[in-house]
Formats: sequence, structure tokens, C-alpha cells
Amino acid sequence: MGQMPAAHAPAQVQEWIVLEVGNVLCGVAITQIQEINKQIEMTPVHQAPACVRGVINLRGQIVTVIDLRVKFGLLPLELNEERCIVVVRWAGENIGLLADRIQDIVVAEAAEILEPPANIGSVTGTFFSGIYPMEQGLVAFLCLSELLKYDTQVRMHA
Amino acid sequence: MSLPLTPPVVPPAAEPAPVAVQPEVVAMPALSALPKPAKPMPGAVAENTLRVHVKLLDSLMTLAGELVLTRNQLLRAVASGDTPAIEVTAQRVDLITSELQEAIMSTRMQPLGNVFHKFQRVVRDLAKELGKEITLVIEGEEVELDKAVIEAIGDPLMHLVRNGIDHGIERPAARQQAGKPMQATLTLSARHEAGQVIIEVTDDGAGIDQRKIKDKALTMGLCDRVHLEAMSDKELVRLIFLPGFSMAKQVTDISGRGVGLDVVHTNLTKLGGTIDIESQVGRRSTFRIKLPLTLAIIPCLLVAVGDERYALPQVNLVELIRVPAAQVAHRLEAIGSALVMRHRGSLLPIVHLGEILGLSPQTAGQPCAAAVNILVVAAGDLHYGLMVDALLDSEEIVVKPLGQHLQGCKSYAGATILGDGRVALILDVVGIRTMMHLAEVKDTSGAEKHRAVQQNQTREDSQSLLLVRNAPDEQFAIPLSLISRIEKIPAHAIETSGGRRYMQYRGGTLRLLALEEVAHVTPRAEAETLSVIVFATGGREIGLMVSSIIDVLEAEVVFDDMTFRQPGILGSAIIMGHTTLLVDLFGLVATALPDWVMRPERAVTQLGTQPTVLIVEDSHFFLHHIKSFVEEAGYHVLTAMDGLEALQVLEQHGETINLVLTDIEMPNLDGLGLTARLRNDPRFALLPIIAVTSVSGEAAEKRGLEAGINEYLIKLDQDKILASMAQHLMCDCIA
Repeated sequence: MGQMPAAHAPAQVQEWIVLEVGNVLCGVAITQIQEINKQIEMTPVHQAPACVRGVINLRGQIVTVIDLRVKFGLLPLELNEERCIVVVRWAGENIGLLADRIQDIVVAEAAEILEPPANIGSVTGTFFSGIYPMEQGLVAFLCLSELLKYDTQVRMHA
Repeated sequence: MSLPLTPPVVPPAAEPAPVAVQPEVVAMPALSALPKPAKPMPGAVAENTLRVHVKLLDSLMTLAGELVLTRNQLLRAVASGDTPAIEVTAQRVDLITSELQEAIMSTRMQPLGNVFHKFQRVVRDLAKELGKEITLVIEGEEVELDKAVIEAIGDPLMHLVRNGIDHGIERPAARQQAGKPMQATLTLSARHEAGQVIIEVTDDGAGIDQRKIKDKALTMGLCDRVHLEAMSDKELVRLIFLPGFSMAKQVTDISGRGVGLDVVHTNLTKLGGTIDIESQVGRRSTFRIKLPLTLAIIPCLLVAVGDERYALPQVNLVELIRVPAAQVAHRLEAIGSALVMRHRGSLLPIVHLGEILGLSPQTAGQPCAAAVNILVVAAGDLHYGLMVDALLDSEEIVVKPLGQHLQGCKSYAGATILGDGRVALILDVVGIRTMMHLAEVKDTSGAEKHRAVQQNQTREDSQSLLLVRNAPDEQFAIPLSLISRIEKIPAHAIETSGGRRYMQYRGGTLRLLALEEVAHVTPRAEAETLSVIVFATGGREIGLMVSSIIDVLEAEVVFDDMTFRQPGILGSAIIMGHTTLLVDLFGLVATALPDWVMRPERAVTQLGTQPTVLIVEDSHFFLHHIKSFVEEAGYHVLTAMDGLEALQVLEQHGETINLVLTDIEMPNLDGLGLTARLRNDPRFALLPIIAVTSVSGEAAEKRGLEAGINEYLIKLDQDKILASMAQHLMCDCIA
């Protein structure tokens, strides 16, 4: 069950978790989330790609944690009680997304989701599948397949 | 230039096996994704039961009991609102649950012996059917793999075994004719290596004939002759894995259907494994399967760098050395920016784990003043030392795979969860070794690096080189001093006999070699005339065919001996704007005609002991080169980078050094200066000193001999150097 791109969204309602990453509000579809964790002991992985903050032990499984701030080109923050790791399922494995904090849960109707505007930076722009207006601001819904895909060439040089 | 004919081996994005329990199991192949075997075969039928050691069941029981107790504690704490108690018991529940999960997962580990032993019957039956005599040898049956992987491996193994028996092993009569024992041997072996399980199927049969592969490939229209000729052995042999490729003359019932090894390859790729073939025509073939461990328990040594912990697989650990603070300065030395340690008679490259990982940078190459812990590890045949801050426990750990984003990290073979629930990365010593070369070159500042390069350039001796062309756009250099003659001949003067080329020369026949026979270079284009470089080795003359001579030049050239290193090529440099490969004439002959090379007799002193040689040479390239052939001749080698250092070494080891091999052009104290000092010192006045240099010429030689040098030779003329050394040792006048 993936996210529905705004263009072909049937009239459906979906729940999203809203995360704060720097000054961006991101949404992740609840259906993609395995669980949410806080205060996890992270083991750094040196020489890994920059966006990998480290790995954690999730019930016996080694889960890679991607720092969303680094993905969006921001400087990473220290880990504290507010930081949360959203564990999602992607390409057959569990991956953790590190965000500053959880903001909210929203229920969004497909019709209300807008196309991402052209002026979002080219790199980060592809990460988002749609924009949803909320009182707190605009929430950008994350497209996991774009966010998490990695260049095999880059992989070789890691 | 090589075509992408080999199916690329890509680690699969595997789907999890359907399990009822929520904790996902990562990277397990879905059984439904595997091809069903054509006939049911032993070991591959998905059994619905498995055997588990009673000890494991006991620990499961214990863990379950602990979990119940802790759960009760947790419920009580929650009911009474005792927050600190809640936190503590919750943490305990977390820990026990992890342990429980691990224990359950490890019940799935089965020894490979179960699968291997089933092949006894298969081999016996097949051998009888084909009229061959075969013994099955099994090694490493205790090696364990996850049940699902074992089931998946059954089919590919069966295919390889059948392949070996059908195509590899010859009939008893043929074996006898070839001088082999009539009883053939098929070996199934398994072992752990660097975080993988290696399974090998080896037969001592006919090996894989490259010509047959080429013929088959041409017949199938897979590729044209030019490309085939350009392929390396490894690439050729991999053609076997293409769909439809079968070398059986007739399709037997057993194999040869052309369904073939590509299925094996595909199955293995699904498991995230690889397959390699090693073969010697007429002798044997080995199919080597490497499987990444999704689940395996291996003994490890835990080490610490700063406050981070890492696991080093015991299988890679050769020795543990603790150097007390007082000895650090003496035993650890820096050569340029690389740290080395004298260990068991050789120099061990040392690198600090923190440096490899890019942690707080140690001052490049400077050993620290406190005591150091060094782990001597083996990366294949190569040993090196890994320096860490602290040694922790020895433990058996469960190997877990790292996620896809981390597959590119060469330093790690996986990860594990330690007793306290935290993750520790497992070190990959082979991967670290490839990173070490980078660590050696990396300097703390760009300026230092630049200075080092400048120094190297001014230090490099002048070389007399013959520049030649083989393929139209490839340039090679051959040390002029090693060449006897250069002849230009018409192409029709080359005679071929038994796959070898000769020409009539000076009343006899001259054996001819081409560079492409040994090194991976483009073959010479056909032309009406060509040039032959005649040189002498092992007491005979041999000719190297090239297409044309470009020039002779005398230049200070800096050779890079890492990038293009291969048999027949010593190194590379940029000469006249082109990448030029330096030809290793001796290596060429040693590889192409191994029977030709007369192995020098093991060197001995007059007393019959192993002689020690001090090699003084400022160029890494030549030092490495000379050291290797001298050590191969049986000498114990000590080294120094210039005359001053040589004096220090002589001070230290004085009596034990039997001979000095020195360069002339060196910084600080050159070869002539060194000789003068030694001749003035009563201890070393009679020590044989042989000068090895790139500059030949009567004036230079005269000066050397006047200074007291016993003999003056060319650096790359290894035959002469070894002969001269042996001669001087025999006339060793020192008691």
C-alpha cells in the first residue's frame, strides 16, 4: 500500500503522521509505518553515506537510520528525548527515519492534496508526492521510494 | 573493452519469508520464489520438521521462564505506579525478548553435513551409471547455515556435483592414460571466511578447457573471436554461466541439457551469493560458492576504539600483540606516512582502526607514546596489523546483515547485537585492507603530500628505457640494460608449433612470446613486419614480440606499482604524455614458461645458515621489487631508505648482515658515501657491497669500484643480481 500520488488519488481518506524536520513539516502515510521509537541508542556507522545517522537494534534486527535533516540539506541535530525515529518498510527491509519531533496525526482527503509546486529545490522536490494545507502550515507528504533510493554508483564509493 | 557478457551479480532485494510472528526476518528468500526442481532430489525437499539441539531448547525454556517473571514484575510496577521500577523492568523485558528471538532464530541453523552426506548416495549411483570410479570427500560438515538457505542450496549443489561427475571426471581408462589415479575424487567442502560461508565443489577431473569454451561460444554466436581472445581466463570461464551454454557433445540424461549452470547462478544470486570457477586443464575444477551469512554465529574478539565497540571475527585473527610503552618507539616505525612494525622477520603494515574509520585523526603515521594493542589479521594471504585502543571480550556473536544503504561500506561485514542490547559493527579485514592503501597515501595536509611527491621525483634515478608499441594505442617500456638485441622481422618468419611461436635465429630457434599471453593487454595487430626484443634469462635467449619501436629515452621516471600491477607488468608511469606500462621481462617468462625459469638454489652462507641482506634503496617501487625476488631466493631481508638509515641498521644488526645491496643516488647519504664509511670501519671493511643502479656507464662504475664497491649491477637484472650475491657469499671472507 503506497502513497497515492495526488494525480490519481481515488476519493479516499488517509491518515498521516506529521513530522518536524527543521522548518519543514513532512507527512508519512500511516500504512507505511511499522512503528515509532524514541530515545533509541544509536550506533554510528563511519564511512557510511552522509544521510545515514547510524544503526539501531530493533527487536534483534539491525535497522539503518536515515537522518531526514541531512537528506534535506540541513545540519544534523543532537539526539535528545524529542527526537523520534519513524520505522518504515522499504524494499524488503525496515528503515528508520530520524526527525526532530512528531507534530501530529492528520486525516487527509485525497482531494485536498495538492501537487508539489515547481519552486521546491530540485533534489528535495522529488522527495515529496503532495502538499497538504494545515493550520500549522503546509505539510509535504513524503514519497518513500524517492527518498530512500540510493545510487548504486554512490554505493560503491561509500 | 570486455563485453558485459557475464550476468551481473546483484544482491537481491529479498522478500521476507511468510512468518506468523510479527518481528520481521530480514533478507530471507521466499521459498515460493525458488524454482522447483525437475526431479525431486535429496536435501531439497522442504522438510516440515527440523532437529534442534536439546541445549538450545533448554535455553529457550530458561528465557521463557525469565520473561514470565519479568512480565509479572512489570505488571506489578505498572499497577503500583512505580515509575523507576517500570523503566527497569521494561528494559529487562526488552533484553529478554531480544535474546529469545535470537535463540528461536538460531534453532533454524542446521549443519551443512546433513546436506553433504546425502550426496554419498547420489555420487555412488551416478558413478556406477557412468562407469566411473569416484570417492566423495566431505569437509566442514559442521558449518551451519540457516535452514531456508540450506534448502535452497541443495539444487545448485546437486547440479554442480552432477556436472563435475559428468563433464569433469574422466573414465578410469582415460585417467590412467593421463597418469592419474583411476579413482577420482570429488570434494564437497564448507568453511567460514570473512563473514561468509564458502562452499566448494572440487573434482580432480579434466578441468575446463578454454579452447572448448571459445569454440562453443563461437558456435553459439555469443561473441566474436577478437573479443574472445581479449578475455582474461576468469571472463572466459564465466561464459559457462550463460543460458543454454553446455559443452556436452551429446545431451545425456543427467546434464548437458543446456538448462545448465545459469540456473545455478540465478538461484545463488537470489540468495545473495556468488559463484566462481577455478580450473586447471587436465587437473581439476573447483566451483566456489560464497554465501553471505543471514544468520550465523561466529566467535569474535570485541575491541574498542574510543568508546565505540567493534567485533573482529576470530577466523581472521592471527595474533594479538601488546607492545609496552617502552618498546613502541623501537618496534613501530614510520616509512613516509605509513606505519610498520618489525614482526617475525618482516615488516607488518600497521594501521589504526580509528584512522581507517575516519575518526579523530591520529597524527598520520606517528606512533603514540603509550602501550599499543595490535591485532595481526589475515586478509587472504596478506597480513597486517590493526591498532585498537582496547581489547574487550571474546564472544560468540550472531551475524546480522546491514541494510542496503550500507552495502557499500567496505569496512564492515555485518553487525551484531551485544549483551547490553547495543549494536556493534563487525569488521571486514579484507575490506579494511583495500582502504589501507588510501590511508597510507592520505596526509594530514595537502602541503605535506605535495612535498613528498616532489621529494620522490627528485630522488628517482635516471632510467634508460626502450619505448615500444604493442597494440596501436598502448605504450610499454622495457629497461634498455636488460636487452641483448632488437631485431626487425617479417611476419612470415614466425613459425608456430604446438601453440608456441618460434623463429630461426642465429643458427638456432628462438622462442617468441607476446605480452598479451601473460598480461591483460590488447593484442598486437596483424602486420607485415614486427620487432623482436631479444633478452636473456635462465641461461637462454627469448624474444618478446612487439609491433614497433618508438624511442629510447633516458629519464627520471616515477613508477606507480599499484594501479596496473599484474603478471608481466611491474608498474606504470606517464611518459611522453601516455600511460606506459613497465614490462617485467623475468615475470613474463616466469608466467608464460614456468618450466624455463631456473629457480636459483636456496641461498646459504658458508656456514649453511640463512643469509641476511641489507637492501638500501630510496624508491618504494624498486625496494619492493628487489626485496621480493631476493626474499624468494631465500634471503632474510633488512631494508633502509638511505645511507644514513643503513648505517643505523648496521649498527643494530652488524654481525648478522652478510651482504649489502645498495642504490647509488639517495638523499642524506648516497651509495658511494655509504661505501666509503663502511670501508673505513674495521667491522665492515670486508662486507660485500653490491651497487644496484639504473645508470650504467663506465665512469659511474669506475667511481663505484674505486670507492670500494664489489660489484656494480643494473637494478632490474634480477638474474645477475642473484647470481652475484650467491657468488659473493661463497667468497665471504668474514668468519
